[in-house]
Amino acid sequence: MIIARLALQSLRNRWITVLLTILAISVSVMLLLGVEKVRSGARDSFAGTVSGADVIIGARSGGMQLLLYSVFRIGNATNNVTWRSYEDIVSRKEVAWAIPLSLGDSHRGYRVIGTTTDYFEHLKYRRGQTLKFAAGGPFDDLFDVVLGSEVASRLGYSLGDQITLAHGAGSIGSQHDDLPFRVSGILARTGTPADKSLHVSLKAIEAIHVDWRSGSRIPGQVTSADRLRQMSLPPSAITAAIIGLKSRLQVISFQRAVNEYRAEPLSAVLPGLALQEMWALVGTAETALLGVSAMVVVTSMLGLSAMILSTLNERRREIAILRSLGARPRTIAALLVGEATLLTLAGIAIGTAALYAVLMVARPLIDRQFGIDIVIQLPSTTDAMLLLAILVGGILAGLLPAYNAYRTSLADGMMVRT
Amino acid sequence: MEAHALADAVNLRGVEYRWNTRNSFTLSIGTFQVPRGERLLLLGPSGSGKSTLLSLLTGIASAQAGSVEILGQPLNELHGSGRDRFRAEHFGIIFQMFNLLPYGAVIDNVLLPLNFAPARRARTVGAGGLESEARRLLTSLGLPGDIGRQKAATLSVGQQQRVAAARALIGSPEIIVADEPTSALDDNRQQDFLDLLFDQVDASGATLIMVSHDRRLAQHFTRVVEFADILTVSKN
Repeated sequence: MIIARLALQSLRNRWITVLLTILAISVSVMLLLGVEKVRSGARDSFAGTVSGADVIIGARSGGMQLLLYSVFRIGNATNNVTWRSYEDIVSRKEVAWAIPLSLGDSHRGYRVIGTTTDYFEHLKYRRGQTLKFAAGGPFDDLFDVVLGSEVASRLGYSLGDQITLAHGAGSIGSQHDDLPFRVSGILARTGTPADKSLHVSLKAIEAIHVDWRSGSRIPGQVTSADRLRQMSLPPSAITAAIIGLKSRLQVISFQRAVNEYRAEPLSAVLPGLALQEMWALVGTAETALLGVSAMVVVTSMLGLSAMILSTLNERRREIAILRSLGARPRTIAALLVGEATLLTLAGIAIGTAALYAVLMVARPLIDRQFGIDIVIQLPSTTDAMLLLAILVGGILAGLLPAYNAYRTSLADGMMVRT
Repeated sequence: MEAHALADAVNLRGVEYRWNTRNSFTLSIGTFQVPRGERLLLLGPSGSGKSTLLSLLTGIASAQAGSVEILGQPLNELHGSGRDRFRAEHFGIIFQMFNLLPYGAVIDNVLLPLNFAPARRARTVGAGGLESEARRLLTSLGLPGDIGRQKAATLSVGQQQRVAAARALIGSPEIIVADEPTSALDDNRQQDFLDLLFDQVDASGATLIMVSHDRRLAQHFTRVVEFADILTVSKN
């Protein structure tokens, strides 16, 4: 088809502006698609963190708050759950496993979690993976600690190192420095909050607080580590618990049972639902980000329109020649719309390819830095809809110059003197 | 088509055309006929309305009054795209200069009108194929046989005018309109160009209407008409 070939040659003739226009579109496509990828990646990562848990229980509070402090270790619990209530609840026949969590202490900004070895056995993340040890194993002795991968790598700890915990969540809290812990294990990286946590037994949490009352040290009272090892220290309370049920069908009735528990006010949340609640909250920010990206796309479309418009003057001659040969004004308009469409398609193709290339390189970095695993897969339906919207935008961008050329070609006829 | 074969190439009666942009002027033509096979020279200075006349003949502009019949076909009976198609099928047009799409190959420039004119295209295929017809015309107009693959922009002005002539002639349209086709050429090349053009026009049996301000060309034509004698431009 001669006319298509000539149209391509016309583009090649203006290759610098054409290339820049395509690049502008590519960059905007990359941005929009990238924001969407990170957004869905973040959602998947958050959802992956709680993938194995059916119910989370804690003191009576909002579901989102409970989810945030128990699973994501953001913020603090308002109240505790007594050990008796915990035992009572996990003894119910629906419960398959339970991981108690006792929060409140920290080590150089990282949270310390008192728990049981069930933590390493039952906690699931990202499509059902269990935690793995990069070195060592679970805590065995009272003063053993298991480090998350980030804690170990950032602070440069290895197996057998001695560390002390601090009271409270701040990095400058008072120290439990009389009772050092030995690193017994280091977890493999998960991309979940476990990477940023230190794990000790529930008894260890009790032990380091034996000489403390109401958040400060009892003057003159020092209990030795060996003495503590021999003491029976049943936990009096925990902060929250992650619970797996034998059947997902029992989730609702179990949740109701916890919420209506008589001995103390408790809350049970379904992690998935609480996450939904959270996304509804941060949705505004996401929308804003997508909105900004969309504006960048619009800008590139305006650029495309302006580029084609600006060539119209120098192409008046070209249009007049085509008209004299019998091309209809509609054909000329279609040529310009076709040009806009072609450039947009090229921009979409290059932008998408470049984004995938960038993701492939940056994926491990993003995962390490932010714990967001952006799975590289074919564009999702959402991605496809976005790309389609961009294509439609490109076609629309071609309409204005096309209309202009249509009018010019009618007015000029074939008699333009250049 | 039989009736058309007997009709004049051009037959204008009582045509009035008002410019949209300068609507205080009206171009009027009483009668203007061009029999088939004629070689007509229209003489007049620029600004005498000749662009408008050519636009009316080729169906790019429409007269507000009167009748424009080309090859027996009243143009006002055709709608816009019908006139475009009619122009593509029956006219070959050569401009003063800048005739070609500069980025395109010579051969593509020559064959381009056939895209809009199926009958002309079929005729070209029948005459020996698109490429070979184009090559035949290019060489008969004195261009090297291998010029087809060159980019039009690399050609000299004289060569470009010959390519434009080949484009006008391909598929043997009935009417060739040439608007000052030689004014960009020096005297020697003017003569060469006209000789070659006339040869090819005669060979295809087309009607030639050439517009020029150059009275010296008159000797080559079967009829010479002064613009002033057929049309008047009046202020309303």
